Amino acid sequence: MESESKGSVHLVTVTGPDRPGIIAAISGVLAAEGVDIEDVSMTRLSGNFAMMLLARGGGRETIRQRLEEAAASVGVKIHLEESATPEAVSEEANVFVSAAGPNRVGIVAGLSQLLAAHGANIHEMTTRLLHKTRVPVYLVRIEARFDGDWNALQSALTEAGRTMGVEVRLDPLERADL
Amino acid sequence: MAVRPIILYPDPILRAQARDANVCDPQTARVVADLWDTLDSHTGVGIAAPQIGEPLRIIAVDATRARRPVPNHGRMALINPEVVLSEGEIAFREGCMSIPDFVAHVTRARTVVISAVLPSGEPTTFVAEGFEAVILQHEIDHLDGVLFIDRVRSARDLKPRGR
Repeated sequence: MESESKGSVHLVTVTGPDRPGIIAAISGVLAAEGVDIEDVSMTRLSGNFAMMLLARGGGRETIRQRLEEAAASVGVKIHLEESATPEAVSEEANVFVSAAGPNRVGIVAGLSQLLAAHGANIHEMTTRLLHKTRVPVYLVRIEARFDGDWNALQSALTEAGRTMGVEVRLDPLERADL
Repeated sequence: MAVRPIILYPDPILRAQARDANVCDPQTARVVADLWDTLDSHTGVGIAAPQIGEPLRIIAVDATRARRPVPNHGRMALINPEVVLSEGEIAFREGCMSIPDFVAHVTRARTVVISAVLPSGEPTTFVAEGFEAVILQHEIDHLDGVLFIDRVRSARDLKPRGR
């Protein structure tokens, strides 16, 4: 297997209160251990630092120990597990779901459960709570893979939006090969 | 006339400023023919001369090959094309034959006015919109050494190309 010949792949999650130097500490340890960082997704959620990365190579327990030391030095926690095997042929997201409306509990649950029930797989989701609007407004943006009945999903989303009091749109994600 | 190999990023020719092409030069007609042969051997809807290793301002676009019918001007080879006016915004997921493994959402002008010379030597100016406008802007970018990855703000916006 290719991943074994190049070393195993670890999924590392890093979370905690944000401060300068967290990425420097974590990536420094990985570089020193000869571990290749393949893919990083890092963001800040309010004052929280949140990062996931895929790292290839090195022994899992040695890396875990070094990472835990580095994490402690910058006040964050790490979690390390074996990465899932990548799909042989990846699927691109082909639908875009956007929702906006007065904030209430259950918007994400309502949308994600509906998508799951229709067999759609969410590839990416971002949300924002807008505070300075007339009433607090919740925005959701979802990219998903969906190979089922478009009209059925569209009407289910419209109905769910009506129930939750949010506007929901379903749009195709099209690709131009140039 | 021939199908040429597609030059892959990071070949420096993809970053170079392409030279104006002379429509009377027989080399121009050869490049146009090779652009069509090469494009027709792929699923793409546009190609620029630097992608086949020719640092000349020549592109070939074919919006008739869109997956869904869109307003278009048919198959067009354009010599020294320029965007002279642009308006509005449209986001499209773009892929590029020179960067075959990723696609990304790119925001461009929705409507463009293009001025160019046709392979016959006749000057042309026309308005393109939507999908065709996206193709033209992507290909004209190639002539200035600009790639779609330059128009992506976050590396996370690059998604593995899949089915």
